[in-house]
Formats: sequence, C-alpha cells, structure tokens
Amino acid sequence: MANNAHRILEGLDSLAKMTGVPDLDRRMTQALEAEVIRPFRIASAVLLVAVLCGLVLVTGGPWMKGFGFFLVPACYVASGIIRMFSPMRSFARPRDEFEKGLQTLGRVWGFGTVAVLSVGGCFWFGVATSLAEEGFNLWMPRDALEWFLMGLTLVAIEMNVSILAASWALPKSAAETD
Amino acid sequence: MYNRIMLFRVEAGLSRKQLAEMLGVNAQTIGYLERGDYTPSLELGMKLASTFRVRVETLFSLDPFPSVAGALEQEREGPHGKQRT
Repeated sequence: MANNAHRILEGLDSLAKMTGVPDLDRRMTQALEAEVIRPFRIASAVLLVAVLCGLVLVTGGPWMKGFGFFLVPACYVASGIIRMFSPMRSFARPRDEFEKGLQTLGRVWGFGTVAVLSVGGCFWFGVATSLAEEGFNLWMPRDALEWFLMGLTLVAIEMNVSILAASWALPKSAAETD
Repeated sequence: MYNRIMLFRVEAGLSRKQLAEMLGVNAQTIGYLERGDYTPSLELGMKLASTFRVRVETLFSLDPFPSVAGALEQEREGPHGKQRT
C-alpha cells in the first residue's frame, strides 16, 4: 500500500517536472528575492498605451468593444506581473531609505495621475450627461461592465505610471556589487 | 554633494555588499552613494562616518575633494605657494 502511494507520488513529481512549473517557480523566487532593482521603462510604457487603447476600443463598435473587454483586463494582469519585478515591488527584507524614497515617488506620481484623471472624468461625465439630454452622444460608461473596466483601467494606469516614475528616477545601473 | 565613501571602503578592505550589510542597506544603494547619484539622509551619513571612524565632514563635502595627486602637489609646494626651484 505504502509502496503504491510512493510510486504515485514519484509519478506526480515526474509529471510536475515535465510541465516545467518547478523550474519556473524557482526562477520566479530568485527574481523576486534579487537584491538588484531594475528599471521597467519600456514594458510599463507599452502597457500604459495598451490599456488606454483598450479603453478607447471599449467606446467603439461591437467588434472593437469585444477586443477592448479582453485587452483592458489583460493589461491589468500584465501590469501586476511587471510590478512584482519592478522598483515598486515588495521586498522580503525591510526596504532601505533609497528604496523607500523611490517607491514614495512612484506612488505620488501614480496616485496623482489617477486623481487628476478621476476629477477630469467626473467633469467629462457631467458634461456628457447634460449633452445627452440635448441629443449629443458623448461616451461615458453605461453598464456595470464598462464601469468595471474603467476601474481596472485606473488601477492599471496607477501601477504603470508609478513603475515608470520609479524607473526614471533610478540612477544608471550600479549593479556590480563586488 | 561629494563623498569619499569608496576611498574609505577600499581602505577598510570592505566590499560593497559587506558595507551594505553593516549599514542595513542594499548593496546597490552603496553603489549609488559612491557615484554621488544619491544623497543619504543625515542618519545614514552619520552611520557611514561612524563605520569608518571619521567625522562626517571627512566623508562628505559640498565642494569637490582635492585629488590625491593635487593634495601631494600642494603639500610639496608648501603653505606659501611654490618655494622650491
């Protein structure tokens, strides 16, 4: 009985090895525990543009809308993954003063941008509502899904702007640590 | 802000990682400090000075530190300019 259980466990181990998940898990752990902070300028800029494109697509026709409904959550998930390796990531050890300063700068930019966009959005929706009564059709979220996507877009913008700001503030690499 | 962290670190025979561990910061931060890319807080500056057993103004300066060659040249010339022929 015990022998059979042992064989099953061995089989499951080999199956896991074949999928490559343990190797991926080890690499992810190494990357997350890495001491060196690396900038993520291009990836976060691309994701920022992509999430904005996603929101624009949501305002379009049915086919474009479907693509937008896929693109916005995909960018949100990708931003979360990028953030885990960026200067805005969380550390297993206490952060030093330089890292704290870098993350504070990133948060100020990220939340500041979202605050400005939220205020601008409120004015926009106010104008859109008034104009809708006059027969003009300006886009604004109509149903629950569109509101949900707006929320995801704002979170993705916050993540990417903060990563961008922290990455730009990071001095040129001093990676050689002897 | 100018500093002589690298000079004192090498003099003490410490690697960046060792100094970082002594100060409780990331080794990358030591690199930024040495290059002058980052100005430390008063607390970290005093910790650095205390680690090397020197005064803060020996380690940090608002003006560039004279080069070793420049300092030797000045010493050779004496306090009243060029005296030797």
